[in-house]
Amino acid sequence: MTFRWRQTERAALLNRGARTVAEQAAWIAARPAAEHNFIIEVLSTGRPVGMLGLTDIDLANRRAEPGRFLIGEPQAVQGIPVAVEAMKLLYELAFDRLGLLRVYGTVVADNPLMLKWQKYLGMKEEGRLRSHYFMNGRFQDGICLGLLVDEYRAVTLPKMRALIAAARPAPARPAAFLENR
Amino acid sequence: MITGNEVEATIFAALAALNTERVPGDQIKISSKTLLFGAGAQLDSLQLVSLITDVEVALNTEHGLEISLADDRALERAESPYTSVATLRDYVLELAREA
Repeated sequence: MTFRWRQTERAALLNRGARTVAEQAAWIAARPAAEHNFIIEVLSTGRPVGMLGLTDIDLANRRAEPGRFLIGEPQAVQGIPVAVEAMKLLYELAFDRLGLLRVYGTVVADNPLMLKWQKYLGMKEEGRLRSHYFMNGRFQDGICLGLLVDEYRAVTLPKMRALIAAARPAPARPAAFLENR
Repeated sequence: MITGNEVEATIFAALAALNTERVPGDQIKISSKTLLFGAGAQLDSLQLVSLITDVEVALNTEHGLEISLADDRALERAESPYTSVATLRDYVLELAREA
């Protein structure tokens, strides 16, 4: 399943993945216990739709890297805030349960959707690694992003709550009102 | 004061930008009735954030409005402002009147 997801168009903007199912299985089996890797499921159906993880957890310096964030079944999450809820749960793990002060990561410059996403949800651009990735046939910069716990509570959480609520159903209206629209 | 047509044009432009990221067979049909988020809608979370970001930036650069579209206030409304182009337009107009 995750191997199939890694072949999708969106995955082209992640680090190079396994070339075979066996390679993918071996890679999964080799993940250290110190990492937290998750499959994202739609709560109402249990259908797996993506994945994300928290890696490089450094409890001494109280930091970690969220990553491996991929929605592998984009059609299944249209209109529902699956990605926001998944990221919110991951940040709760990082900041509330593990007591981290900072999360950080690098996004390839040619991934505007992810850059907008991370920045809108509070990540700040901290630097640029020039020609850091060879993707889609060319070298591209890596954008370094970081989020501190205070920023998470002040900026990220309110926006996440609003985005999650964005999918709430419209209130029922009287039939007459509907007929007059 | 910004008009409803101007707000709609801003939202349409953000949706058109999203269409450049989608495959030809999965293009968003853009109109004031276009559903954005929730049941039957076409955007996922990343695309909704992209839309909100583009609209906020355009409102600021083209109309001088500093508006935050995703905050606690959006939570308080009976109907989500992100349900459709029309509900988002109305929400922007409401915020613009108070800005």
